[in-house]
Amino acid sequence: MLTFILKRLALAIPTLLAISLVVFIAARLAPSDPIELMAGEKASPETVARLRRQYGLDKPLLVQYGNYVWGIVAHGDFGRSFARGGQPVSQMIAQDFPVTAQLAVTAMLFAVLLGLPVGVLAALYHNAWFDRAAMAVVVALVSVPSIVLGPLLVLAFSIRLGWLPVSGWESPIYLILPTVTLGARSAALIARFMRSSLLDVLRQDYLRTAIAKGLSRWRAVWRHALKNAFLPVLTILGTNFGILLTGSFVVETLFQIPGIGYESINSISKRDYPVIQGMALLVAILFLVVNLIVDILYGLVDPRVSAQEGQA
Amino acid sequence: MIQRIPLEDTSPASPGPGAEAWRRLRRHPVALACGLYILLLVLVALFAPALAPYPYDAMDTRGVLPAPPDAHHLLGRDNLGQDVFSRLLYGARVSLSVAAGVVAIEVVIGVTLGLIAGYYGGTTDLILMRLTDVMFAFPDILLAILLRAIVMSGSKAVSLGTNLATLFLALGLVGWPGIARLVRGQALALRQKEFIEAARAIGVRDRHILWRHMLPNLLSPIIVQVTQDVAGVILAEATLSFLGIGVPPPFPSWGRMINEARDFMRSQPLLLLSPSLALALTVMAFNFFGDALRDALDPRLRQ
Repeated sequence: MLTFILKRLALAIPTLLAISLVVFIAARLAPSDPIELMAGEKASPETVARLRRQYGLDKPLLVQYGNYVWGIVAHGDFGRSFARGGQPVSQMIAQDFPVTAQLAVTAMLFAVLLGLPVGVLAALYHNAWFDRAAMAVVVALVSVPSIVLGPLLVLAFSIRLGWLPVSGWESPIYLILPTVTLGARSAALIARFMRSSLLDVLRQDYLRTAIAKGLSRWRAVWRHALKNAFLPVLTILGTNFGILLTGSFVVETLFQIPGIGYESINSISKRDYPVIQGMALLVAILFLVVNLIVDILYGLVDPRVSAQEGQA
Repeated sequence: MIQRIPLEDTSPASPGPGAEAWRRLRRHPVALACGLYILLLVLVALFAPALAPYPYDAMDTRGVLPAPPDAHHLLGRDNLGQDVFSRLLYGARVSLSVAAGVVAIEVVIGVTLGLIAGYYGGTTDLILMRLTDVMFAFPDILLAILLRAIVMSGSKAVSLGTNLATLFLALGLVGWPGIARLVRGQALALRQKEFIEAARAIGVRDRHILWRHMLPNLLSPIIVQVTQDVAGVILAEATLSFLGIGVPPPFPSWGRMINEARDFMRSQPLLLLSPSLALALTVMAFNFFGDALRDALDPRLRQ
């Protein structure tokens, strides 16, 4: 087990470094000179040179990258915003992250609480009307993009019916539309996956044996099938977290929710790239860490996985 | 001295793989409808200038804007007075052009790296697949959003060419790992086949083996993968454009049309509904068609 976890960790670190390097290089390639921007057009060459030295931008690129990574690892220092009077990016992250996290968690809960039961029922009533109806909705939800679903929900529930607010982030009622918009696709994916996974398990011999020995169908499903069927679903929760992170850019912009996605998109027009760079890195790290946790969890729940990888 | 043995095809006459796939596809009415829609979309994209009643950036600023449909404008005009119907048609062209360009980038990178990794194996394979894993770790279009956000936040305005080039690259970087993995897997299996061994034995150069003998045998899985990728690329372009970091104005993109229409939802819902419908239908069509094509071409299902 330990070798398995260590192996996964060893894989994650180069990935993190590669991602941070890509983000860093992309930021440097951007056709902009932050120092000229800060100093203004009338600044003397001496001022520009001094600022450049002060921010460490006169050093070779590799040294700059090293300093940047070291700053994050050692001091949690993501640099400073250009647009907001030099506010540390880490401070902005601390402000915006809880909002994004709250939205992601409610959306994930919505997806799981809706997707799992629908998937289970669809499998139990395989080919019955419920199964067919549920799968039709699932197919539609998987294909309808959130940039289409979100505005349509607003049009229906906020503008036509007037039940829910159009946008903003004040009370729990403001959570409803963003949660549904963000979680719908994941709910559909989870339902579909749960259904096929449970169908597989239901065909297994051991389940037939249990029922043949007199266990009621419901008890057999509840006690034996569900746990085994849920295992593969765990793996796609990690993938779904990625969908949620990507979606948070769209949904936060759509509903003007002051989270990381909204802040990043807003910073683009302000040309505030330290903020974007920091947030991009944060999102990337988050995604990798969550997937690492899911991987390890999966190894813990299903010993076959870790045993296999431990040997290889 | 090479002795030439006359080759005769002794196998019973069978329809080619294309005919076989077509036979399977024909029995699937939904897939056929999607295929038809895609065909229509391609025609619209090709002939948009002839089909659209107005140029995509022509402004007709009479009256209150955005304007509802009237005798001249089938779907009304947007807040700048541009004809929505024309922009919708040109939007198909933008959407499919981006999809074609991005898929081309994906295929070139993915097929090259996948073939090399699968054919040579060993350390080359290990390094290339590590690289693929790193890229694969990134979900959906997150990387494209981040890269575009960083490029677009540069202090000087980017030229149109650079803007489009980075858009294509950002999107292309997202898709290639899937193709690389697929091609590598197939190439690994193919490498063991007798005809490759024979080619190697008579001294055919590696490059020739890769492109002339291996690639043609990989075409159908690549085509399936690409069809399925198109839906993702179209969606990604629309999402980026919605966020303001996609296709730059004045080109009409369905994603940007949706974003701009949100301000006029109350007065002019048609402005929102038409690009939404176009985008949803297109993504759905490519998804369904991709799945059906996979079922029709997948060698594992064909007994």
